[in-house]
Amino acid sequence: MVISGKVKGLVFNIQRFSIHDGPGIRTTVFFKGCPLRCLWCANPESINPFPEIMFNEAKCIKCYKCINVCPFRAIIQHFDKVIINREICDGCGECMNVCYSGALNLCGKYMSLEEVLNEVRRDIPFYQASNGGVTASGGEPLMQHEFVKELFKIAYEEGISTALETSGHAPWKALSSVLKHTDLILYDLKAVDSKVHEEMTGVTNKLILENLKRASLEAIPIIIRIPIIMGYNIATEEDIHKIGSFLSKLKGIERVDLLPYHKFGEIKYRFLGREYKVKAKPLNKEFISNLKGIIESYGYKTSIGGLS
Amino acid sequence: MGSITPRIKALRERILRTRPSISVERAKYYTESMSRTEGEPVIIRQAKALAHVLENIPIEIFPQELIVGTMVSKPPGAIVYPEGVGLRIIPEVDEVRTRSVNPLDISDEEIRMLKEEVEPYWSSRSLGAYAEKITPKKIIDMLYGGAYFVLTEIAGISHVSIDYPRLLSLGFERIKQMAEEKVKEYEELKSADPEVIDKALFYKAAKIVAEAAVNYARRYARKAMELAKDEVDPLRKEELLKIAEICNWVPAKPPRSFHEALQFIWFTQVVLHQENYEQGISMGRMDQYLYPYYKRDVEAGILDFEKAVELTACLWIKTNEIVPLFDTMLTIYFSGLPTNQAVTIGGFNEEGEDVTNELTYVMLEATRRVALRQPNVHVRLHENSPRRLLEALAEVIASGLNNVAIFNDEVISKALERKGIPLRDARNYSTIGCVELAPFGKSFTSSDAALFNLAICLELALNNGTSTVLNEKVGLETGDPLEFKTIDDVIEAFRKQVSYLVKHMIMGSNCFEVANRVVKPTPFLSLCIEGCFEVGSDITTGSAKYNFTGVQCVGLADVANSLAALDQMVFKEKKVSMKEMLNALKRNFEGNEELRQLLINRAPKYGNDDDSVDKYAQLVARIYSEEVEKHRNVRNGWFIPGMYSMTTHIGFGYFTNALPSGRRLNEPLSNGISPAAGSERKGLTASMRSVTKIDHTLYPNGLSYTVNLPLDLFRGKEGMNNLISLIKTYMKLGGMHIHFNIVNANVLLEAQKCPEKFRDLMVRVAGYSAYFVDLTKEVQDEVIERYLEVL
Repeated sequence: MVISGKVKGLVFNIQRFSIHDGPGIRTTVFFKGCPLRCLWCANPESINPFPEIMFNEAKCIKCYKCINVCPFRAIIQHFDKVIINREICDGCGECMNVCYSGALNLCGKYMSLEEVLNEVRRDIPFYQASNGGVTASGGEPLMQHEFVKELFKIAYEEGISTALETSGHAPWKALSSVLKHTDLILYDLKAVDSKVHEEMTGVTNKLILENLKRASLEAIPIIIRIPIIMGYNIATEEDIHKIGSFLSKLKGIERVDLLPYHKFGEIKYRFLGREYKVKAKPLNKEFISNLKGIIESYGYKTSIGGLS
Repeated sequence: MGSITPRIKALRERILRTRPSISVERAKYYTESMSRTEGEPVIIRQAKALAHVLENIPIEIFPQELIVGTMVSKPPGAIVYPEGVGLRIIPEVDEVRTRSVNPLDISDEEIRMLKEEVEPYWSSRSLGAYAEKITPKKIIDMLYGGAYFVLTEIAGISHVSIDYPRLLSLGFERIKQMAEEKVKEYEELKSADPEVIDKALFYKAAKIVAEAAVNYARRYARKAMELAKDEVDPLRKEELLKIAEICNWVPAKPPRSFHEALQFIWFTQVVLHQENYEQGISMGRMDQYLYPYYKRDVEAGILDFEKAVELTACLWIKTNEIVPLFDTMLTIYFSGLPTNQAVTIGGFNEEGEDVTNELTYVMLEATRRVALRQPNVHVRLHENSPRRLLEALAEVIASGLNNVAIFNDEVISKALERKGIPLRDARNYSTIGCVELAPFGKSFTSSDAALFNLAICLELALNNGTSTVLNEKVGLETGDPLEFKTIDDVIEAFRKQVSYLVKHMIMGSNCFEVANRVVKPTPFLSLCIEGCFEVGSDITTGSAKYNFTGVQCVGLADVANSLAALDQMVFKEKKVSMKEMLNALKRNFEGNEELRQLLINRAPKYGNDDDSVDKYAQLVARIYSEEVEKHRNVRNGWFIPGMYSMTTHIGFGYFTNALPSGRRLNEPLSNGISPAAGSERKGLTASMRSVTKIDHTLYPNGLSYTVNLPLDLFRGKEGMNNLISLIKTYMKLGGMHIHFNIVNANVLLEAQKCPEKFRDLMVRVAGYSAYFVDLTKEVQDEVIERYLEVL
C-alpha cells in the first residue's frame, strides 16, 4: 500500500518484542512530546516535543570531538569532563555523528509513516501467533494524532492489531479520530481528584475524565493503568477508592493494571541534565495487594504490573 | 501437578550433597585385563577387558533406590578412561582435589595406583599415543595449540543414540545365543569366504560382552537379596526382593514391565559407560519405545501417571551419577561437567504423524521435579504438536529449568533428507548429546568429533595466513590484505582459509578414527546400534547403517559482524583505511579505542534483523557447510557440519586476536548460531529473525540457538501464551533448535560485573522490560534482590 508520506512522526524509540503494552508480542512505537509533567515520569526523554541530546557520561571516551563539531558551541570541556549547555543546544545531532562510543545520543527522530511501518511489519509472524500487534505510546501519542491515525489505519487494513496507550489529555476530536482503527485502549489514570492531579501532573484531569467517559462508550476494550507513587498520586487507600468508584460508573473496562513505582527512569534524568526530584516511599507488597483488593471490590479484574 | 515424593527428594539430595570424586576402579581392572591379553586379537581383548571390569567394579544399592546400578564407586564421580584422555589429569592429580573449578576427590592411594599401575601401561598404548604416530605432525601441533580446532576422538567416540527398541525386544541372552550360533557356523566351516574370519572374531567378542552384561546385572540381583535379608522395614524389604527379581530378568531377557524396561536401559547405560567414555551416550526416543510397557502396565492396573513419574525420576537421577574427568584445559573448552546423556521425547513418527503420548508428559513432569543437570531432555515439536505439550513445555521452561531444549521436526527431517537419508529414517531422528541429530538407533555419527574456529580463519585471511597471537604461519598465503579492493576479496581469502583449515581438521579427525578402529574397537556398543551385528563387524569399522562424522563451527557471528564492519567502514564509507584497521587489530585496539567504539556502535551487528550484516552470516554459514560436506570419513560416510561450541568459544577466544567487529583478544567468540554476546539490541523477535535467515538445513549435525530470558518475563497465563507464540513462530521461520537459558540472580550479578557481555539481557520492570545493563547500580541491586526473593 502506497502512502503519501507527508506527515512525519517524532519517534524516540520503536521497541520490538514488547510484552507489557497490550496482549501478545507487540511492537511499541514511542512518540515524543507530552502535555503532562508527571513528577515521577519514568521516560523523561519523552516529554519535550523536539529532538534532544542525551549524554551518558559513563560511555564517554574523552575524545572531545563533539566540542569542535557543535555549530552552536554548546559543548565545552570542563577539566576532563564534557559539559552540554542545554540552553544553547539545538538538538541538531552533529555531536552524535562523531561520538563513536555512543555516549551522545539524539533522542527523537522524524520518521515517515513508511519508515515506522516497515519496522512494525517485521514482526507480523509473531503478532499472528500471539494475538499481538502495534502499540502507540509515548510521551502522548495523541499530540501527533494525525500520524497515529494514519499509522493505525494502515496497520488495521493490513491485519495488524492496534493498541493506543494514552494519558487521555487531548481534544476529543484527536482521540476519536484515532479510535476508529484502535483495537485496545491503554488509558492512564493518575488521580480522580482534580487538585491532586494538577499538582502531580501540571494539568487538571477534566479533559482526561471526560474523554475516558466518552471513550468507554465506543465499544473498544479499555485497560486502565494506574501508577502507584506513594505520597504522590496515592496517599491513602481512599485515593484508590475514589478511582474505583469513578470507574464503576463506566462500561467497557476490561482490566485495571496497578503499576508500582520504580526508579528505572532515574538515570535518564542524568542523561538529559535534569534533576530527579521524586522521593516516593518504597512500596510493600501487602499495601499493593490491598489496593488490588480495593479495585477488585468495584468489580474489576486487576493486575499488578500489567500481567494477567 | 503433583510434587516431588520423599524418595525422589532423598535420592536427589544425595547427588547434590555428595562431593564428586574420581573413580579409579574401572581404570584398574581395564588395565589389568588389557595387560594380560597382549597378543590376542584386539576386539577380543576389549571384550575380555569389559567383562573383567564388570565382574569386579564395586556395586552398590543406595537406600530408597528403585533403579539400581552405579557407574562409579562413590557417585557422583568420574571414570578414568586411561586409553583416552583420562590420564591427562595425572600431572594435575595432586591439585585436582583443591582446584576452584569442578574439584574432584581422590585418595593418596588411588593417586599412587593411577601413577604406578595404570599410567605406565597406557603412555605408549593410548588412542592419543597411536594417533600421534599416524597423524601428520602439523595437525598434532595445531591441535595442541588450541587455537584452530579441537579434535575429540582421542578420548574415544561415544556420541550415539542407542537402539533400545531392538535391545528391549531381544534381551542380551538372546543376543548372546545369536552370537554363539554365528561362531558355531564358523567352527563348522559353513562358509570358506575370507571375510568370515574377522566376522567370527566379532561374534566371539559379542558373546563375551553380552554375557558380561547379564552377569553384571545378576551381581545386583544377589546384592539386593543380601540387603533384603537384613532389611527391617517390610516395605523396603519387598522393594529389594522385587529389585532382585528384576535384575535377574533384565537385561538378560525382554522386560515384562515399565519398571523392568527402565532397569534394562540403565544397566545397558552402565555397561556402555564402562566401555565408552562418558560423552553423549543417549537414550533416544524414550517416550516412544517405552510406551507399550507403560500402556500395558496402566491397563493391568499396576502403574499410574504418578508412579511412572517416580520411576522415571529414579532413572533421571541415576544419569547424574557420572561426571566427566576434565583437566584444566578441557574444563575451559567444555565446562560445566556435562555428560550429555540425551533423551528425546515428542515429535512425529516415520509417517509424519504426531506421536506425543502420555509418557511424553510423564517424562516432562519427571524432569521438572528432578531439576538436575542430567539428562538433557530434548522435546521434538512440529506443526501439529498438541497444545497440551506446548503448555507443559512452557511451564517447565518458565519454572527456570535449563536442561530442556526444543527441536523442530520439519526442519531436521529436511536437513537429514538433504544428506541422502530416506524420509522415514529422517523423520525418526533422535538427538545425541547436546544438539546433535541422527536417525534413531541406526547411526554412528561421531557427532562431536571436532569443533572449528571460524573466526581465526578471518584473522588468517587478514594476515596472509599468519596467526598474530601464536605468531605462526599455519594458513594459506591468500595475498596481501592491503591489496584487497572490495569485501569480496576478503571473503575469497576467508573462504580459502576455511577450506584449508577444514582440510586439516578433517584429516586429523580421520586419523583419530583410524586410531579408534585399531586401538579401541567397542564390541558392546556394536550390539547396540542397528546394522553392526548383521554385518558382523565392529562399529568403528563403519558397520552401522549411517556413518557420518559431525564437525561444528564456532564464531559465526564474529565473522559476520567483522565482514559487515570491514565492508562499511573500510570499503564503502572509508572511515578507516585497511592499514589502520590491521594495525589496530594487531595491537588489540590499544591506543585506538575510538576505532573500536566506531566498530562496535556504528557497524551493523548480526542479531538485529538487519540484512546488511545478516547476509554475511548467511554466507559464512554456507561457506563452512560447503567446505565440510566435501569430505569423506574413514567409516565410508561423509562429514557433516554442525554449529555449536560447548564452551570452546571461550577457549578459542584466548587465541583469536582482535576482530573488525570490535571484539578484543581474549573475549569469547560467539556461541552456536546465536548473535555475539551483547550485540542484540532490538529484542528477541529481531534476534530470531536474523537467526532464521540462515538456512538451518545446511547443518544436519545440529546447531544451537541459546536465548537468555529472565525468570519472570513469562509470568501468568498471558506470559505462557507469549512463550508458546515465540517458540511456534521461531519454528515456523525455520529454526532448528532453541534453548531457553532462564536467567537467575547469579547471572544478573555477573552482568553487573561484565555489562559488555550482557547488553541484551532484559529484565522485567513494573509494566515493561528494560535492558539490565542500562539500569543504575542501585536499581540493578533492587532487581537482583527481587530475583533472590523469587528463588
